[in-house]
Amino acid sequence: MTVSNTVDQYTIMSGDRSKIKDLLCNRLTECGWRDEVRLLCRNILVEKNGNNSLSVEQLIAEVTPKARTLVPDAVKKELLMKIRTILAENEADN
Amino acid sequence: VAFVCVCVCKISVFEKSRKLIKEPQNYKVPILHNSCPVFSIKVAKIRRKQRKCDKTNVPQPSAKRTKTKENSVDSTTSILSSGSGSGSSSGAGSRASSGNNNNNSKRAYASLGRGAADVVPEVRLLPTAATTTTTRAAAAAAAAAAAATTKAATTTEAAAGRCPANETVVSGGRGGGGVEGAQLTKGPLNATHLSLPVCLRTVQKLAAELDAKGDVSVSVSSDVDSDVNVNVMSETGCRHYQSYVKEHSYDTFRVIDAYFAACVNKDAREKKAIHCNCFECGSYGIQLYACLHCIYFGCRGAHITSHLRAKKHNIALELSHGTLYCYACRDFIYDARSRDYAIINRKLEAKDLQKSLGWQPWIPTPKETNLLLANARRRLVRPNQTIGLRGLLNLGATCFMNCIVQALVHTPLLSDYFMSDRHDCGSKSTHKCLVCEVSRLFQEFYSGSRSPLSLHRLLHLIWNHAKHLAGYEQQDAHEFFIATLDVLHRHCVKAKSEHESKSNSSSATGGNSSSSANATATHCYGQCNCIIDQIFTGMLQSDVVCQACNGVSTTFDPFWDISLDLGETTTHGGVTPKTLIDCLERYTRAEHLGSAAKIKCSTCKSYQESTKQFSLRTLPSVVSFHLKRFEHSALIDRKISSFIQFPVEFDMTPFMSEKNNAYGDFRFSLYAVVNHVGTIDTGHYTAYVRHQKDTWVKCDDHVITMASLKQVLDSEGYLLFYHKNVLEYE
Repeated sequence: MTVSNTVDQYTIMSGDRSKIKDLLCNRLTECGWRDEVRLLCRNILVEKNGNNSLSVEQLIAEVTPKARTLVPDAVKKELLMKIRTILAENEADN
Repeated sequence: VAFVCVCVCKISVFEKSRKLIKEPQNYKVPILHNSCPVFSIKVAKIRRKQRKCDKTNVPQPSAKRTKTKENSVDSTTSILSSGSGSGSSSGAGSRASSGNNNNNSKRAYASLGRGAADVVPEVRLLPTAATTTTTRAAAAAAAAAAAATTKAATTTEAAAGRCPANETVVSGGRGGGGVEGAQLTKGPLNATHLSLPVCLRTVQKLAAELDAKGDVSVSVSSDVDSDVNVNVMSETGCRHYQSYVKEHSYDTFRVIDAYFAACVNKDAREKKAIHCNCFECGSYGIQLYACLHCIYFGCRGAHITSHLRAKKHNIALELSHGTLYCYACRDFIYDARSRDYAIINRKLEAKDLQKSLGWQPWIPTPKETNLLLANARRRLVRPNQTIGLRGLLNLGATCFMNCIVQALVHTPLLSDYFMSDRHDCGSKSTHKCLVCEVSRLFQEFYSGSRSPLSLHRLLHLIWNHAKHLAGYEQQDAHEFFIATLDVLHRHCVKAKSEHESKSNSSSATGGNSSSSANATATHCYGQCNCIIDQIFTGMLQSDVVCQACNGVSTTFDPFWDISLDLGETTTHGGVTPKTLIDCLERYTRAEHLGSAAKIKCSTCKSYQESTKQFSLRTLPSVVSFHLKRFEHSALIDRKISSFIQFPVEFDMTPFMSEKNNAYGDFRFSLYAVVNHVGTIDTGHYTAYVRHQKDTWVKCDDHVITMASLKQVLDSEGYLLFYHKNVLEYE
């Protein structure tokens, strides 16, 4: 059992995982990431989906690396801080 | 087919033993079957099935088999007579007997897997009982035997299903997880799903509670509703999903979604934390998929696809977002009814964790869909388009009104409000309501027409409601702005109170919000949540410090705008402010009240000299600055035309009351500037407004011209409108 699995389990159990997920979704929407990625997908579809041959997997493979780089550093930082606080609180509780 | 009898008998055995434990309602059966056909036929079928079983060569002790068989038949009938859940147990039998091709036997096997493991949690819970109760042991043994005889393909499934199950989750790796470590003992994995009916009942119960509270707008339970939904949005998944649903109903989806995608309660979260990891690599991966045909979790990519391919299972549920995936289509699928269930689960989760639902994409309701269909004409707004811009006729020195209207119409939050038709005027006399008039105005502005608009109705309403502005004289734009906000605010409150019939408390306190300034009620203005207060009202803090005892008395006042002095400062060596920031610094500087204005200090109970300092407690979404260019003093009335530099974007944090620990983002952007040309007695108002991002226009009554940002920033500036860059959640 690795540390990351323990963290996974703990956050799922306490419900924090879902809150973090929501926070991330909100932040990505707010900063326009969602729209950018949507546009990215759209453009790829327009470009390459000539005969409806592009599959979801191909689309995901194409978009993922670009989408990852588009995530603003501020969002990553905030999320990291949030996770740290949650885990620190947990440590304090025990 | 041997396992069928095992399966059924196991249920029965289980049923019996559970009866002893006095929980007849709570027994576990593999799959809930909705139909409730004639029971005798079912029983006969099961018997036939079991006879068949007897004939097959299954290496298991025949004595045990006959015993269990008798048990099963007896208890099946007893279940039927007891009436609860009878459909489910007979359903299991009939499903298995309905066909004998490869697929079917596999499915039956899956249900067996569920059934078999059903016993195991009991074993875990009551270890001593398990070892002593022979019937249960027998059932377990029979299940194991059956598993051994099935084809290799299916045994791997069993192995996959059970092997990781018996390991214990050691979450005590870090000191932190130690407490949970005790509870996180991983039971047989299958146990989680196996109580499908129990889980389903929990989910249904929770959903019903939610429904009863009136939180759910769409009640999925009624067939009429779902039919409507299906009609309106034809999202019915793919044909594979449809056939899956026909066979398995929505229950499996509903439970898996409620327990592993959106955990509806603590129990669900615990189950997810313990069991929900990839069967291949054990990771709790970012994107896990759950097979909806059998018990299997796998990471995105190879792990889940290899399972789906090997088992010829089609439908899987992506657990981080709750999207359905069809392997046959190699695509995500969308099904309206499943989504309704998922929405309920999301709501339950939000309620349980006391969090907001988070960002939701807009899904048109049937009403909205019909509206969109009825109004087929769409307007595409491109850059460099003039829609939203209209000149305003000068009705005789009404330029003060025109420029304020232009600024208001270009307030993003206000236009969002009115364009989405949020004002619902309760009163029948909408022609008397200024908010309705502004709402109409927005329609006019965005109608696409380019001819100038006449604001006579608006003017008339203002005259009626703000008597001091009536008449054909030149008025002060700032005064008009404040009066307009006041009337709008009053009409909003009126419409709301009329709407709610019973008089709302907010109308009482909101009506004269200036009286609400006391130290305790920091946010009492917030009680009125009319659109004007939401957008324009901020809170000013003033600290009066007694020079004798240093006691601070703090008061809070709501404000709609900030009026800034431009004249020479009297105390600091006659410096004149040159920028907006200078003005703000001066505004928030501690001011010595002087010996002439002694204030009674509440701590030292005597009249003392004191200093007074303003700071901004809360900021509205739109801050308007009023540069006091018109100076009225005893000696002379004059206009100060000095140039005040103002920024396009700036941060208000330094002027906040709690600048060090204020949470939030206080950056603001300029979107409108009202200018005055002329003298104090006579002159003309014009406005620069931001039409689109980086596109500015100059509104001079009926003439609208393009303007550059430089022109805007070089203008004199009388009223400056800034809006917040980042809006917080409520």
